[in-house]
Amino acid sequence: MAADDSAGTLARASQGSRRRRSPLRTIAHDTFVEVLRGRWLWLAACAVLLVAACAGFARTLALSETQEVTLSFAAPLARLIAVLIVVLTTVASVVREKTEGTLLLALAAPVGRASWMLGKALGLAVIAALTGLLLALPVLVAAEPVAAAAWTLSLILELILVATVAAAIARVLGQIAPAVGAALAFYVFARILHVVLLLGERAQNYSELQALAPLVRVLGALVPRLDLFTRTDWLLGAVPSWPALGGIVLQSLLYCALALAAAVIDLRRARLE
Amino acid sequence: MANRHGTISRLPGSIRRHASWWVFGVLLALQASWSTRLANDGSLQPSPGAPPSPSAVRLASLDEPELAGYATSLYLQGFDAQAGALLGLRLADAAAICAWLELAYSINPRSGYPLMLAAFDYAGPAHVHDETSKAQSTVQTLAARPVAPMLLDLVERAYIADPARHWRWLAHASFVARFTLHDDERALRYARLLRDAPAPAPVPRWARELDSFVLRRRDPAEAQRALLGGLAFGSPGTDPKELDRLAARPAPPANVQGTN
Repeated sequence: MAADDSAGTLARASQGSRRRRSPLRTIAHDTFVEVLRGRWLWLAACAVLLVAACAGFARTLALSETQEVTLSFAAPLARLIAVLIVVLTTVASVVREKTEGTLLLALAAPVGRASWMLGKALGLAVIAALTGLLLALPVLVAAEPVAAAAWTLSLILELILVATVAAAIARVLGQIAPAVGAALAFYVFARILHVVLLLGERAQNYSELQALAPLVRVLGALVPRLDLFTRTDWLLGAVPSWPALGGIVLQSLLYCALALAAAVIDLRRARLE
Repeated sequence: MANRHGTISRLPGSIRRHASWWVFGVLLALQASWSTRLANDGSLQPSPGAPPSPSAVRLASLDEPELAGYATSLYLQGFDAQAGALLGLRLADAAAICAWLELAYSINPRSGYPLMLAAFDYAGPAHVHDETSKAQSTVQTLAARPVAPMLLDLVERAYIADPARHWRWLAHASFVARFTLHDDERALRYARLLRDAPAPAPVPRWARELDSFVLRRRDPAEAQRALLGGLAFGSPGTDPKELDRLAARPAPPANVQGTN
């Protein structure tokens, strides 16, 4: 199936000038179709049901603040499951291109390596955005519209960022298990690093760890502040300001570009055989 | 080896053809029976144990304080209903429960859920009676501090930190102090705090006048109805489940001796 996809990509890319369809768009389209064929939609639908069931269960347990309890369970669960789906889908898609040789076939057509990577990332970004929209459904049903819209937008941007980083990691590592592990480690690290820094600053008696503090701060500057994204408290009354949302959009664009640049560098220096 | 093949060949054909399904079915039944045995050991766990540190909970929840706070409260709420039995403070480790409530509040101070458990459930009449009978049935060289006042202290601290969010739980705490603990001094202190609430805090008029509206009533049932009425009609946004629970709660008996 993958070989067929690749042959299709090759043919369509070579006929791109005739059809006035850019190779980038063709690669993005084929990536999207390939992920759809991998039963991504079923997986996302099951995840939506799981989130709704867990939130409904928590709602039945709540003796007070039922709306807050429901959202406090639904939102983080939806966020985490969406990230898992996006990481697994992205890594599988990128690694499959390498192991099945379809990347070579695609690059045999007049398609640059950077274009291939951009097209791939574009297709995966569409999948990430749709995953975010689907997983936000249980939250959209229960929350105030403005807060839910801000939360959903932030979730989509977070998932696009995670998809781009996972694609770059998968391109570099080339194996599914290490790439999934590294992408998830990156995500967890970016989510909790500021808590670690905060705890380190508060703890006065950990002097032996003080030597590590500059290193942790440097690492903190290299990863995106995912703790500022998709916050559950937005749904509970603390609606984000426009500058806060603007910062999230800028951070997403910047880090996606950074991850893509890294992936393109790796692809350009790779000896494809 | 030959013998084993001979044994297998003597089995009926239908079993041999579906041998893997038979093995799978037997193993599945074994697993189900094993799980059932583990689930129904019938023992009550007397203590939820010492709570983890707030930092550990925050890290484990990937910095989702709302989820961590509510999950902690729901865990504690489910703890005293084990194996279909209600485990009162008489059996449970009251100090541990108090520590878990402190943890839930410290993780997510915007939520009133742990304060509700503290003021409404654990400092309520049933648990206070549990605690009293425990104190009477055990010989203690040093009198342990009753846990109900500690729970009300938590509510008071939370109110002082954020009056706008937590005034209703202080009103509950004042009611419990007056009619369950019979600690009039404490009840009046809470009423004064509500009366002197800062202007921006949306404390309704009836709560500011809690002393005359609820506390001066002689009959606890009448006072409870007044509190319910204030919350139902004078406090927009009160959760319907909360009102249902207050309406269903039996009023504290008027002749019970307090802990003080």
